[in-house]
Amino acid sequence: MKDSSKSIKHIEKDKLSEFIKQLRKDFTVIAPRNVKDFVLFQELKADEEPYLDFLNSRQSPKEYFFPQTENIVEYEGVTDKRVPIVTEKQMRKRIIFGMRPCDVTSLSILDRLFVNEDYVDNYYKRLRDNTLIFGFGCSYPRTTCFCTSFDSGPFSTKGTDVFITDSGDTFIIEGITEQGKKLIEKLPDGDKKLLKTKSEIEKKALDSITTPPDVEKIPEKLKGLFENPVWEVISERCLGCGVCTYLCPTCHCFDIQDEVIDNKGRRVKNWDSCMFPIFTLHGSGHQPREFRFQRMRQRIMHKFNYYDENFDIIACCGCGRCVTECPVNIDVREILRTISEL
Amino acid sequence: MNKIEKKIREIAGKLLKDKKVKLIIGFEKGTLPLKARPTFVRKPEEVEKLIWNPFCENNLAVYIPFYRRYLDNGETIGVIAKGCDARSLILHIQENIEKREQIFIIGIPCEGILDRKRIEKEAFPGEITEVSEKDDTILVKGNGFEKTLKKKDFLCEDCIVCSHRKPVVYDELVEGDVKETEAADRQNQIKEFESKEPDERWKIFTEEVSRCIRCYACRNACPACYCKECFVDCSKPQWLGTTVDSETDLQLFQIIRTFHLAGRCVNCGSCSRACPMDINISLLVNKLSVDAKRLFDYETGIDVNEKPVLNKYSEDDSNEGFFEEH
Repeated sequence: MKDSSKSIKHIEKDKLSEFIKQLRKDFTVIAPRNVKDFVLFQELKADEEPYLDFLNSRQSPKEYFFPQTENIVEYEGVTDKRVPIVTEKQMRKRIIFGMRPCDVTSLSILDRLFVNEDYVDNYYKRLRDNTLIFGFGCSYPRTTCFCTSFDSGPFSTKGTDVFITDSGDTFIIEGITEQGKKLIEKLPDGDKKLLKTKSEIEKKALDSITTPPDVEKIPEKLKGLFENPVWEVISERCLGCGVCTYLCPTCHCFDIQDEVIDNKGRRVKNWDSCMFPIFTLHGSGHQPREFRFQRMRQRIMHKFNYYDENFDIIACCGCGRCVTECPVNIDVREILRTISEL
Repeated sequence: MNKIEKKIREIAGKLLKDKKVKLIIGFEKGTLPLKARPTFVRKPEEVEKLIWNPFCENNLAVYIPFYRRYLDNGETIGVIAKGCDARSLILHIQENIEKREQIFIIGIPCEGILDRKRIEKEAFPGEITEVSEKDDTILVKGNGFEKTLKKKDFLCEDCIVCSHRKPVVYDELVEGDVKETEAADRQNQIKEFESKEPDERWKIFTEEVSRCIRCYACRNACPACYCKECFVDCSKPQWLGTTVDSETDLQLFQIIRTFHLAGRCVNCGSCSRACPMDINISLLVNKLSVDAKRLFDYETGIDVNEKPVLNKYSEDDSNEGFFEEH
């Protein structure tokens, strides 16, 4: 057993800005900010403290690994013989500070698609490799949270470099990876008692997630349901907007466009959503998923069956954003229960 | 069960039993405390799930174009309609989406929808887990949090200045009259915005729109946005880029959508309520409604037999905007 107390540190709340200031010397720090009485992950401005009094951010920090709009290639000064490529700028190392465990889990889900033995998406990998994760224990999971349905939990440290717990008076800081430990080595050592405090907070949080849907048998169950009429029932109130997919930390469909003006241009990758009528529209004009029920089926099948078949993991982390933000309250937990009962 | 709910169920049950309608679109209890959600009832025994409360925020007219197959078969659809929902249905009828006799409007005298997002902010950064209604107030509870809020302080902005709480056209009206609000002055709602210098207005607009993630929830929640192919989805030719790093793409989407709604918007506020980034989308369209009223003395969705304002021409029409007078 390694001595865990060695990597336990703590930081008084009023010393946090000093710590962030230190981090900013070597890193770009992306942290929760109060935008308009809701929270988004954004780059902190000079001397700005992260806004840590939040449940979870409206959008996940997925966009820092898989940007909604991302240039694949830029070129300028095209002649009939040459397409001069604009070279990539050096990337500064980044820290995502205060990421909830569900969102950290979503990265391990995306990793399997974007960085695997058959294929590596260099754009994703570059952003991933250059970013350290400061996870943030989820003391008050929302009623719509169900991270415990998956290989995660409100205090899961998996995938983080440093893990922060708000104990009320102070932040308990744990170094998880070697890199993470190094960054916090100058902070004052934490008392062993802090671990006990943490486990009490964790227990309370776990107890508050009372009815997470059981997803274990869902992938298998979905296999026989492609033609089932249930999809029409589930999707009847769906408006066909992209809220669920664009707020989802694991949705990853994209579309590639060329934008050219005169002799200058870019090839650009943009998020796409299976909820949209133009999604996978064929050049011939044929649309394989013409109706809303087919699109809803695609979303659920992709997350809970196809992804599991391809990568041995369900593409959902239980953050509940699709539940809270859907304009017509389509609740994926209900869908999962309906499917289980079929 | 409140009085309105009881009456809704009674009317809906009878319509379905008598086979007068194929389907009734109404609201049911959702899985979130501050939200009722659209529901679809086809059997008389299912009417028990129909509810009514100030969280019935969606404009249900939005669903009618999805039931083309019913309309083409000559079926009738029943809709539980607030004042704004009914006006959207009238707009549809004027624009030949559905025929008047194919829609059975169960009119609700609406006292205004409560702004879920503003109520949630009362608990920010916490969460509201329970809500109950009592007369003019609601009681909201959360983790170590309890507050009594006056309904009138949390009405949606568009409901505060609503001019037709009671549906102007209906087939059956649920009892319980409602007073039209004294503040029914949309001009007033946008006065502050209008009084600003153009540069300042542009700044507000661009800042709001910069948060847009192009999920199109505003468009899809809107009953007037029923184009078979929206201009943003058109790929042959492609009118608009699909990026979010180009300000032009974001701004153009909102500007063009707004102009498509000129004289067609009923100011239900569904677009703003649907927006996951809390963009004040209705501000723009409301300006156009005020203009339609001022220039053409026109209000959307009032008279089934009237043409939409931009579909008719009269020699007396205002020339403002065409001929600048100096």
